[in-house]
Amino acid sequence: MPAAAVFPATPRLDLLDPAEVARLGGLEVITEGIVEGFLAGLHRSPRRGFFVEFAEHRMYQPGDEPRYLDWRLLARSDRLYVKQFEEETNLRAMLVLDTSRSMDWSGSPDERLTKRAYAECLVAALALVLLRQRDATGLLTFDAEVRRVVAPRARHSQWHLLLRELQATPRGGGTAAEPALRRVVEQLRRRGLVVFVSDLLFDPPLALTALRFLRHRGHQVLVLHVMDPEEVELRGPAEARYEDPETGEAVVLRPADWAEAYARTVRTAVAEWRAACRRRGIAYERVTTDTPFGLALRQALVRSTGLA
Amino acid sequence: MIGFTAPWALPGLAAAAIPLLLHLFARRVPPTVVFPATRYLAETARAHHRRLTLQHWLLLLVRTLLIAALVLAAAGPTLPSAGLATHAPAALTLIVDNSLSSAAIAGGTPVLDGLRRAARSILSAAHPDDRLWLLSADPTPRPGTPQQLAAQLAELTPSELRLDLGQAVALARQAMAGQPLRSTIVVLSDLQRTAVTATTGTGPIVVVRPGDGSVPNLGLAGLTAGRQPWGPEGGRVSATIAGSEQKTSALSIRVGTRPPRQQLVTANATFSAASGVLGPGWWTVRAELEPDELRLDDVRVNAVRVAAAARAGWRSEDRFLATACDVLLQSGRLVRGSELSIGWLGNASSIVLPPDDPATLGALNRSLASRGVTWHYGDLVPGSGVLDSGATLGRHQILRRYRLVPGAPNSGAPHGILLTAAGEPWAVLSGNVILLGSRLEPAWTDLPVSAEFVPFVDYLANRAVRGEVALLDVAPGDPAMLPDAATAVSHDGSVHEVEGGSRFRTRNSGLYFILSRRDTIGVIAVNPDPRESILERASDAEIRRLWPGASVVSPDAAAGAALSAGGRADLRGPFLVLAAVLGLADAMLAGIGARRAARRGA
Repeated sequence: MPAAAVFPATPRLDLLDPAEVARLGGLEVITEGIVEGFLAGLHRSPRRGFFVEFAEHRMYQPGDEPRYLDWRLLARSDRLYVKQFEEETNLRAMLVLDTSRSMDWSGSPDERLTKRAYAECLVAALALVLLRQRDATGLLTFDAEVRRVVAPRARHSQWHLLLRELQATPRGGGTAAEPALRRVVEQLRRRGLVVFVSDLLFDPPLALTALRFLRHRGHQVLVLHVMDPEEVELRGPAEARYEDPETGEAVVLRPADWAEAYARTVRTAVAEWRAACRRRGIAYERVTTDTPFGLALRQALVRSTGLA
Repeated sequence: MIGFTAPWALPGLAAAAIPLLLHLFARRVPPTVVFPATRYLAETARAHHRRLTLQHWLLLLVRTLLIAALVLAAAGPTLPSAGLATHAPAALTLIVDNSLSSAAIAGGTPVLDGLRRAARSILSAAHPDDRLWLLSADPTPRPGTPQQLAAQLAELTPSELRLDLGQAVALARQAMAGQPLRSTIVVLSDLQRTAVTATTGTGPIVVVRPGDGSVPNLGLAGLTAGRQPWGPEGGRVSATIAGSEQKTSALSIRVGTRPPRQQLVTANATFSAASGVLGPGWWTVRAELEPDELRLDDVRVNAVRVAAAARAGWRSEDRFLATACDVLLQSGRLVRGSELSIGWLGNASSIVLPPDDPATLGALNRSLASRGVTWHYGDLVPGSGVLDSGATLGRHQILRRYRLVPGAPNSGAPHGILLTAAGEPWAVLSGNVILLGSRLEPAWTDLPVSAEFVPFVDYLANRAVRGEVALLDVAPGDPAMLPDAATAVSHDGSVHEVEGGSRFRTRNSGLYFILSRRDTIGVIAVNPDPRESILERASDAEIRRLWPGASVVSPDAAAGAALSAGGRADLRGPFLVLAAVLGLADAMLAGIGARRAARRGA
């Protein structure tokens, strides 16, 4: 089924399955690292942020800084209390979605979403989760070039904005991940979370360089590798001419003869991506389009907690 | 060299090209599938192309070989291999020569016993898949299982028939023609030189040469009594001897119950004995040699007919004819009487000459017709002609003759053409009347002035006008042409009805009298073929010259040679095993993809 049928032109409020959203409501995106942010949230910050919230009072002890004395309470009760603040900051997350032509494909259109449709659902769900946590969430879509950029915000209308931008992103062409990732740097001036959703069907070195650059800037990076099941296990007619929708490269072969070798190649490619990401401190998760969203999100977010 | 029992299957080898042809020509343009991960496929193809290409070609080769192996197995491949315990199914004809010469005693036992032993050894080595025939002097090829043929072999006895081995080989080839198995002919014979003759066709022949050499032998090759019927004064009987030159034997000839005449004889000699005065009738003649290693050719029989001289009348105005009759009268071949009219149509038997005056020809024809003679005189044929019935007379000039015109023959009465001139009847017989086309005068023919004239008149008066005596001398199994008047054949007191003009054939020696109602009109003397008495064997070189490619072996090696010539190693089994192995390999190679697909499905 083409993506247009899955996502009609009207705002797609039904983009997320409520049941899936409900299942995701209990999840928390918990990162181990400390992310700078302006909004207070569940994430601890190693330095002072934009917002400082009162946490509790305690009795003054010698050595406490006098400036934290609650003078009003002292005036009312004549006791020395020190105000304690818990400095909290919200996460600034940037969701980067590959909308290239290779994403607009499904091995079984009647049964499964295209990779792009699936990825859009995933991104939207992830954005909702993040926004519910009051994390500022932004979006960047790209194919051969950067198509749409939504700066990270935590306001209520942000999620709907993201949805509109997702749907407004035109059908893509080739893939150029590296410029898109560099553009993310401009959007995340403080350390934050970058979720890179793509089928990774491009040359890895430049993309990995950009991802490593993001890591160097202190961002947590999660790569969600979206694959159609038939990209994992080769199927098809007795003999077929397989053509790359982006490059036009074609290969004629018999799937029955090549399936095993192909599967090995795919496993190797995935393993290489996983190893390359691990070396760079990047979380990597492979999801196939037949995986339930909730499960995929859960796996992705759990993996993201392991970020350094 | 590899051979095939079903070579008609070999064109099926073309089917081995089917996998290759399908590979080359049946490749269609595959459907295009948009596939984003083509980069992985291309990478896979680069990494595994050589292995998969090799696998494809290997599969193609295996399938081609598989089809070829199956077709070859169906064609029944065989390989020559001597001394095999097993052999491919073969067609085998055993020619066991039980002709008269096989009764010869060599080394204390009949030659046939040795041949039978060798044949048994071959039959015992044969198996039920073999197709077997047994051909003896009969000579009818009889198919059967090894057990059936062994039983027939046990009952085989020396026959009085002659077996021409060249014809027997051709007959055996005819019997085996059309059957798919490889055919071999095994000749078990005493290999008489006279029996080994050229043959037709090709194919393996195994000749089993008896261990003992040929034995010396003398046999009666002929017994003749000259022209018949004899007169009362009798005649001479001649016996011809055949066999080993260095041997002598005592010969006795007996005519009827007269005392035998005896003589010491050698091979190729002819002994003649006078019979003495005999009474009219049929007399048996028996010649016998003293017993030797081959008994069946030591006796020969024949018969002679003794008849009284014809009682004839002739006219002095037929000057040349009268002169001849006077000579015959003086020699006792004719007696004055009225039983035969020579020169005109009388009341009894007549030798009729055409009239000198053409005006009387019509009256003569009417007289002939009233006598029931089926011939009459036609036009006068001027110009020259030549008598061309050489068996009775030489080529004499005919200057004038009347054309003899046939009518409807009377059934039962002897009739026929005795002599011809210029291809037309000149002397004909109808009942007891002989018509001559020319008068016996020099103005009509030069016969009266030739030396053959008196014997010719004797022939007409004593034999032709009485009906020719049929004296037939044949070998057992050979056909004898019966006279048209024959109604039955009598032998040893039993009478068998026959059809006149048919062929009479018997396997047993003896005298067979030809009857025409109550009269005995001839005899068939059935005696062994004289060639059977010559036991000298053909050499290996002669055999190979007459039967190219034939192998000559001893009786001990008969079974091995017979089965190694025709019973070649059966390669169907190995080819089927090879096909099975190739099928397995094919399944494994093809199954690699299937297993991958299955694992993928799982």
